[in-house]
Amino acid sequence: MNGTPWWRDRRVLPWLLQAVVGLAVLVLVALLMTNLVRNLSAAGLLLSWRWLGQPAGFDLSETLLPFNASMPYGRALLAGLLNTLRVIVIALLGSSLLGALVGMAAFSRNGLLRGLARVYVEVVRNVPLLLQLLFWYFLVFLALPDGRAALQLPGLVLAKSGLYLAGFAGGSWQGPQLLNGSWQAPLQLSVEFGALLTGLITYIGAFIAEVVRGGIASVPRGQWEAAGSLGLHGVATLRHIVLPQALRVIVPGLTNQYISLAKASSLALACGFTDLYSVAETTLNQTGRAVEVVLVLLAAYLAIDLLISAAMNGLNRLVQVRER
Amino acid sequence: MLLAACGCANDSGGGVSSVRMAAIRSHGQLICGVDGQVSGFSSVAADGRYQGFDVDVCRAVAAALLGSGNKVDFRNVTATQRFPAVASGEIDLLSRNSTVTLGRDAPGGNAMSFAPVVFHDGAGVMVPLASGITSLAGLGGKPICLLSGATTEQALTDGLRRLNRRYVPLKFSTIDEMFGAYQQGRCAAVSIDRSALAAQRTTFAVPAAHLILPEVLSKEPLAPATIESDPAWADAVRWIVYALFEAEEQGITQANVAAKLAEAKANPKLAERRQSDQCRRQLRRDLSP
Amino acid sequence: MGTPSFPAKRLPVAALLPLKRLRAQLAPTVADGLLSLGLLALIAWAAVQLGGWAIGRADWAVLQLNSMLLLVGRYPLAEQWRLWLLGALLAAQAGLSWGLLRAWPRADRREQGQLWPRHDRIAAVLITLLALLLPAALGLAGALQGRWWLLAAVLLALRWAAGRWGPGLHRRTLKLLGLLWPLLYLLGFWLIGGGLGLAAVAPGEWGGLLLTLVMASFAMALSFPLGVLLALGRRSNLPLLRWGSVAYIEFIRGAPLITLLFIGQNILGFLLPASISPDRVWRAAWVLTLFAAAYLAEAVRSGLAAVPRGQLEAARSLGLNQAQALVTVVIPQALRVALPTMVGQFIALVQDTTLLSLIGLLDLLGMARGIMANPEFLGHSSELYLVLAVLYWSCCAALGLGSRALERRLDPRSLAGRP
Repeated sequence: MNGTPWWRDRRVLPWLLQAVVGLAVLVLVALLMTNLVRNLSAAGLLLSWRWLGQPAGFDLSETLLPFNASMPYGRALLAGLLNTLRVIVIALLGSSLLGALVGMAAFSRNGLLRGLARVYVEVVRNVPLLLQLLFWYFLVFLALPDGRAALQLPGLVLAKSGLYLAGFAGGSWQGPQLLNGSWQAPLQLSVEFGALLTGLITYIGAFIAEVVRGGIASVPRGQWEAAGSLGLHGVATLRHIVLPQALRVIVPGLTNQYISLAKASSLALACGFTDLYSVAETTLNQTGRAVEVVLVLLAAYLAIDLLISAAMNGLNRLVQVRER
Repeated sequence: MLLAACGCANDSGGGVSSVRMAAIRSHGQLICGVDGQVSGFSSVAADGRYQGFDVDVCRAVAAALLGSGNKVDFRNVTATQRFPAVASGEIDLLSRNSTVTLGRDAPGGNAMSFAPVVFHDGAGVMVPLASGITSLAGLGGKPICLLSGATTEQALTDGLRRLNRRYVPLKFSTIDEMFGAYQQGRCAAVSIDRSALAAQRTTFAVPAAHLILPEVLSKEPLAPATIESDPAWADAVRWIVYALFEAEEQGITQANVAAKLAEAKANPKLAERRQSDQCRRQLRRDLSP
Repeated sequence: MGTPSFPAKRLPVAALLPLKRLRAQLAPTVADGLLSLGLLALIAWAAVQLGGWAIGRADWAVLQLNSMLLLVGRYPLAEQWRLWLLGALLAAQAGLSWGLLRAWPRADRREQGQLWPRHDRIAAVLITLLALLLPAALGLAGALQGRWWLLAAVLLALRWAAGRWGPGLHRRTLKLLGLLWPLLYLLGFWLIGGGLGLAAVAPGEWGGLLLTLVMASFAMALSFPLGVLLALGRRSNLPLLRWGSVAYIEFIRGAPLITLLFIGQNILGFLLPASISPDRVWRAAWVLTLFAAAYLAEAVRSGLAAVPRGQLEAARSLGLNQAQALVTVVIPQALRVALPTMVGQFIALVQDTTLLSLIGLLDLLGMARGIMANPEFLGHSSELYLVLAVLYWSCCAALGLGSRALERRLDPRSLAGRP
């Protein structure tokens, strides 16, 4: 009845194609897995998670979770994860603020400010983040003076040994103090953390500035003119008329930037900060559990990405709903 | 450089089947993992040639197996990469100032097969002379620069714990960055094997301005390593290393090996005695801690 | 910050006197004036500091002594002529393409028929100055300086020749000249890696800028087709292909590159049989490729989404089969839309090559880190950082500029002006 040969039949062909591709992938995966099991068992490294409970034997600095060398690897990885989260949260807020300011500066009536914003974005976006992190750590933060010569601002001291901030301690407000040649303050951050944060904020901030600029530029000019004719001045127009509309374009762009920020935080090891990746590397070195450690890493970063995506999708719905 | 020219080395290759050795022979090159950045152990000279103690071990194994010390493919491996690189079969031999530990030897850990110890090292600490610190106890609460994942990190933690002191560990993934941060004054001290401390200090602008503390924090026996699943290959490496010891003891070098061999052939009794002497000594060395 | 306003509403400043124009730009209000003064002071301070450092304290010996190390790493000295030859060929090809682009009428009416528009004159002068002054300023050996001059001369000569005689060429010849690029690409790999009569240079000996460029161009060239296939897979009606592509893309995009490189370096060996042990450089190159492919796929997908469905249907109704319709009608349009995003990904890829230094490979950054660790150059890392920043910046900015030029040329509205 039907003269079409089966190899040109549009009902058969797609399924055949899928079957072939699927089979090829299956065979490849099976081959790789067989190799993995054979090689791992030859090395006596078959998957096991018992090492998570063994004492780590190494110390960590600057952890939110109290940690010492006799605690298990599992807790060390958790402490690393918390440090990663801390970097991400602070850098996320900082880069958003910086990006918003720079993005809006692109619309300033002041030519110099506009130019500076442009130069900042063009320079920072085109230089690799890793190079910038090394620059901030080795050239800027490690060149800070220490002790009495440290940079002192009200409530803040910047020294080679760390960043010292005023805060509440023992029920009273305390500023940084110099005791026996070393600074003490209620809030202390290491320069490693400072360099990582500075690098991430300036780098991601430049990308966010572009997102914000694009968002504002997407609002039709008539909106500005209409607001102007109603007697609103520049800042009020931006705040009440333009930004709410621009946000619809900005939020999806921000999601991408936040996710790339989360992944970029894994470069912490370049400036000596103890994040999840750095702890994982040490753990691998001590235990030899390469496959398990990588699985932990992949799962952790995937979870962080999903968390950011979910939160930003929620925000996106909130911003989009406003339309009639 | 010494050449393995001893009967012991050849015994293991013939009868026993070794996948790894067959692969090396057919490949015509020994793939040897080295650090590549520690002067004295392994570094790259200006003309691109690898040099140093670890490098010489690689060359000796290649000479014994393939007949030439130049048939080596050197690959730089980082501290993190080194054991997976051996376990996955990417490199044939690891000669990268690596400490023998129970965890690294045992199955379920890194599962290496270690050759005899070629260098007896110990973890140490270096401080700037100007800091006035003269013993480990003075480091309590201070930041110390460390190499991430090295055995020295545990040794330092244990050493300070014995003194009931804690410290702030600052970990770096490469030796270069660790010493960079130390020289910029970020940490009060830097800790790694004493040999590496001494080697690095000689490269400083004013070596005398830095003090290596007298405390030896640990024993760090350094040894080449091979994959656990190929005992015949591990045997071959072990006996090549023994042959190196023996050659050094008897003053056999590339230059005089032919003469020594002729002398031994002319006087078979002497050769036999030497052989048994040698194996006795090796046994003794094997059993000694 | 200054009062925001929509840029298009700026005063018609061009008509005003210079002084007034300056005032309108810098101090439209008193607050803006104060802000401008503050910013000017800041810029002046930074310029004085930087200038003082560059002239006074900076010691460029670190570059002079390590220039070849930074450029090609431990590439054997006896074989370096191959790289110079490749450089000359690349310069020739670049000059040729540049000249032909100008020789053929452009959509942009203003520059049509003008062989040396202003931008090109500036670029030519800059190239000449750089080639003459930079090697001399670094105090390179005479032979090296001569080679740099030669490269610049080849580039400019061919630019001139192609501009002069290009218009007389037949269209088919032009198409053939376009094929030179892929040919040169393959030739480049042969010259760099050796084999087939040339002494082999193992990838472990490539380093510095050479390794960075090889890795980036390798990953770009291969991730592009892979990305297009993945994007088509993701939009396919076949569930297995679609879910397979989605799973791959989302997995790769969910992981930091450093963990993927880590897998390539430390886990891949467990997955492959013992007889296959690819060099770590190639493993890293493939990881970069597979990583970039996932991001490119997303860029291409957004392009595909922008092509109206009617295009495919119209093409099918003309008698093209599915594959022909995709290749000749849909994909070209999608790629044009996706071009800016794709170039953005390529720029990210160039920057991502710096992560190779974290897994012990000696790319440009890895080489520089090694040099900085050399106690001989301690305290002179600023010079190296500056040069590296300039190099990476130039590579990335050039990609961005090129993409904008290409975008203008591919703009359908501008096609009307072509013969």
